[in-house]
Amino acid sequence: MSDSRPLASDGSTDALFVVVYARLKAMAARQLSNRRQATLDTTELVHELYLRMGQREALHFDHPAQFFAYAARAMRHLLINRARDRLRLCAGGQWLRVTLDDQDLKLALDTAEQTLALDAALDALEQSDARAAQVVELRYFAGLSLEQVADTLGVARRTIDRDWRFARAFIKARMG
Amino acid sequence: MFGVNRGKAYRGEFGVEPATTIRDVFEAALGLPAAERARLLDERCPDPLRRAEIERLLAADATEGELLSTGDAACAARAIGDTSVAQALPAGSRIGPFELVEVLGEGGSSTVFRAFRQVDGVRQEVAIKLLARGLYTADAQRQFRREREALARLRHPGIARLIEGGITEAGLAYIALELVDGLPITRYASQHRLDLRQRLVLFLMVCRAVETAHRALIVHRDLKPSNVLVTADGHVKLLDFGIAMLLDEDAAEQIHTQHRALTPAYAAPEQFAQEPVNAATDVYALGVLLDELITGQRRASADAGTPSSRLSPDTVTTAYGTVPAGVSTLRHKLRGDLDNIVLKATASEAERRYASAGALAEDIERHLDRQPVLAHPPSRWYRTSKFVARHRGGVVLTALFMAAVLTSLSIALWQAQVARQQAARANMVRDFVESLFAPVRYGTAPSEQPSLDELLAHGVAKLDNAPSMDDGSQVDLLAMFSRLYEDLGDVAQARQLANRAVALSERTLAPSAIESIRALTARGYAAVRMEDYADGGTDLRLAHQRMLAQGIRGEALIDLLGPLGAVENSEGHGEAALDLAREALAERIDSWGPDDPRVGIGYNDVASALEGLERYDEAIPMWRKTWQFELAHFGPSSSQTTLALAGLASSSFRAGHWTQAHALFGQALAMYARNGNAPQLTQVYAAQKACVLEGLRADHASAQARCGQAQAWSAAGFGADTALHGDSLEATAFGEVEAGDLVAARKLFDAARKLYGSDPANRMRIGRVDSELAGIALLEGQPAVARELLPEAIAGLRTRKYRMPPLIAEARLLLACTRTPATPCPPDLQATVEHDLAAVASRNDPQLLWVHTLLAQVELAHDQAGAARARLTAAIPRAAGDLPPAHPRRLAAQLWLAVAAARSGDCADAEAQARAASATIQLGGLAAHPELASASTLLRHPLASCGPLLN
Repeated sequence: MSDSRPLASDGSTDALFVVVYARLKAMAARQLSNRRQATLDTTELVHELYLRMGQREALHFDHPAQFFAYAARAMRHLLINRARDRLRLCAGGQWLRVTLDDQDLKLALDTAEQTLALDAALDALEQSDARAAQVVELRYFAGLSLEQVADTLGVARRTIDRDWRFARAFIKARMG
Repeated sequence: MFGVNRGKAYRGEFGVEPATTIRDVFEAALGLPAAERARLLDERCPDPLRRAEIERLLAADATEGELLSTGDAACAARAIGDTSVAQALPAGSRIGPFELVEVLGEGGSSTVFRAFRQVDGVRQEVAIKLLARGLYTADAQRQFRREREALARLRHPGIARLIEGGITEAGLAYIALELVDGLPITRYASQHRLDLRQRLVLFLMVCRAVETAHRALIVHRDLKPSNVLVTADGHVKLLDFGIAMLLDEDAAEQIHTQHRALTPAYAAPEQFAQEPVNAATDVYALGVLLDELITGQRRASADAGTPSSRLSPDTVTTAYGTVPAGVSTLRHKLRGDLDNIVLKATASEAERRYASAGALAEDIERHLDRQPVLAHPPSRWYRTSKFVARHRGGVVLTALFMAAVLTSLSIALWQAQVARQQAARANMVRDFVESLFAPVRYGTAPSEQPSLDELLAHGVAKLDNAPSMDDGSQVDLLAMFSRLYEDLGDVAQARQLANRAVALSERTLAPSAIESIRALTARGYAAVRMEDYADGGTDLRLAHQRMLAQGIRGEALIDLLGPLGAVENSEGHGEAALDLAREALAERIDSWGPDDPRVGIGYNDVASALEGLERYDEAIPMWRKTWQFELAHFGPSSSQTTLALAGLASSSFRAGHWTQAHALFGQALAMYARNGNAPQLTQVYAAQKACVLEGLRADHASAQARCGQAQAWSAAGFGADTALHGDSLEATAFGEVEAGDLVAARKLFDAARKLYGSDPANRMRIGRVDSELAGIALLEGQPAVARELLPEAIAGLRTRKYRMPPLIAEARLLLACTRTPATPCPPDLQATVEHDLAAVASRNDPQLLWVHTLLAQVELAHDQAGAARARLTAAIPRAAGDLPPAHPRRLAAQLWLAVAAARSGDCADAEAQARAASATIQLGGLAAHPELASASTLLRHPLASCGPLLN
């Protein structure tokens, strides 16, 4: 997994990730608290993140591709953390105020478990086909279209389509 | 890394590279109708496992829908929901013993709450840090506890204390930290308009605190202004020491999280590179902090320029509150030394930085003292060698030059290694010790398991043949083995090993090294255990001094305070011993929390010190507290609980609550007997005290049982030729006196005295025996013998602080010299007796009746019948609660009261007293008791105006 990390190994970009993640997390938290409002899908969320990040002078990305790689990684991270927190709080439920009704809770737990399974499958995919795994990150976690993924990676659309089809089958087969 | 093409090809189950990848086959099959697909797979996948995998891929490809059934990523995140801990734990929730008040902050890996708990009715405010990661496996929890304990031992006034840590039932780890009210150091400096020198002095305090932690093998890893606070009274307090270590997830989890808890601006290059961090990492952060503190501006992460070059009027004005004209003055002051110091501390190669926070501090001190500093710009040699290393191919190297480069490289590597060695050593020592116990752990049959003795001997031998082990570890292990031998009772071996530890440390280590101090403690302890208080005291006091100087607290300090208290006690400094015991108790609670089982011994020691000071009113509740604590932690039959019970019995006895002490000793000794271990010293003491108690109570049956135990245990455990066994014989003699068998008593006293020999250490014991022998002489009508023995006996008894034995001896002397007109009493004796009596007046000790009966006889001899009568009338009822009616001392007192009444002319009362006593005497068959003889004789004859009152 480390060799597919979209982060350069020098410190400045690692610090960037921390900022991107914190921003995304804050945005996602606001999303959650305004349940009644129209919610953003992944594409809209990442786009809004891009706009907000762009306003900060301190943070500039060499090109948009780099930003989307960060955003995808941050979203994946956010999802996994939430999934872990959910499962953990469920395990130690005695001090958790129940804020979800039973049906929502079941959905939350199922999704959390699936998320961790997806994460593991994606790790496995990275081992066997790193670019296919990148396509999944940009497509699923950053909400890019396959056309945009092709542009971002600088690879022909046809190739990206094949990558996506294989990756999807690979992950779904793993997740059972 | 974008633009990377196809990743690694699939490897088959058996490690053979297939000609085509799974993906190739999968894609080839996609375009084919079902029947042809089967043929393709037959052809290209003879391996059934591989074929099944491809079939699964094809089946998955045929399904519809997103990767997660809930929908896209944002949708899935909403479905799971945000379950941050702050939300789940509102004010009033509990974590461990703490009640949460509010959230102070929330970070990626932890949430901080303000919280409190009640400790002994006092509200203790703390900061609770709840770790976001859960600890579900026993291994993870063990690791957390181990690290937490390391942190708890870290004690320095400049470091916010870790108060407690634990794991909730939900598997969440938390730590409670000292709540610090202060400002970040940079804000403090600008708010107080500190000048450069004041800032450097403040920063030195930071370095010293960091240095202490490094010595305890704890690295901060996240030093920054918000973690370096200064309190209103100007004290530096470092927060979150070592917390990063607790936050760090284990290696497996790290892959997922991708980043560690760190603050980019202060993080050293190796932290970004995710290399192991060590003390040099903190030195880097200190350098950045120093830079910010003196320039008023945090340096940008890529900036390697000097602090002086970065000064700007704005930032300097804000930081120092000076006019912009001050900038050039400041620049002048920073240029040179301080620039170089910052650059050296923040060198990107860890091995070029200061070797420790202490070395950084020393260079700043040198600068303040206007001495040359160690930091200097990188030399040409260094830059050349770097260049050579970078451009190996392009530079023609002579063999000599290459050798020089390699030498400098190996030195650098060695230096970088030093910091890591500390941690490596802790592991090495642990591994060594664990290897010793390997046969015990791996299910050896009980009969074949080595005894602790064998294990230790094996360990020492193994240590002798471990040349690869470094000196510090050797010293530590020798000291540890010494300690273990002590616990086994082999004091001589313990002392020998401790001597070796000290000798080795003196040869190889600095006196301030913690290993040296520990070795010194071990040697002092061994000496104390051999009752060599002079040598032991010297070592222990020196070790204590060095520990305080080094800021070492926690376990090492606790280990020291106990024996040091024994030294103070032996020198008669009971108050000092009590202070040490209290210090140790506080240290135990601070280090481990109030509910840790190891706190019990702390209570025990305080109770014991209070007893030593004869402060029984305080000792008894403290023993009771100890007993309850041990009972709760170790159960009713544990040796700890028994020891506390024996202590409670002992203090009750000394306080004069004999009936209660009788019951408590019975219980404690039954527990000792049941445990069936080799007799311990404390066990023998308890039996001896019980033996004396039962003897004094004239409870012959109980006395026989207790004294039998005391003699058997002292002889079996320590030898029949020891002073300790003499104590058992002497204890038995007390009962013989009360039983009226003076011959048997004298025989036992003589035997004990023989065992005590003429050892000056036994002066008190000899005094005790001689006082009793004088008492017997008085009963036998030989006051001259008593008069001869007593002065020396009293001097011996006075070497210990207990008041009652010398008081009895003094009353005896007063009576003896009254009866030997040729050798009158020492002039101040009467006054001494009155003084001592006043000191114990509040105590209900039945033995006061012994004293008053003696004094009444003195008064009668001086024709002060009224005084004697008043004395006995008051004293008898006070003793009645704890002495049975047929007790010879009670009866003797009553007979003397009859004498005093008759001499006062109150014949009716005299007759009533005499008759009552006489009836009990007949009933108890005590007519021949020597204690009653002289009063009885008097009463058989007319006294003053009264006729004979006894037949």
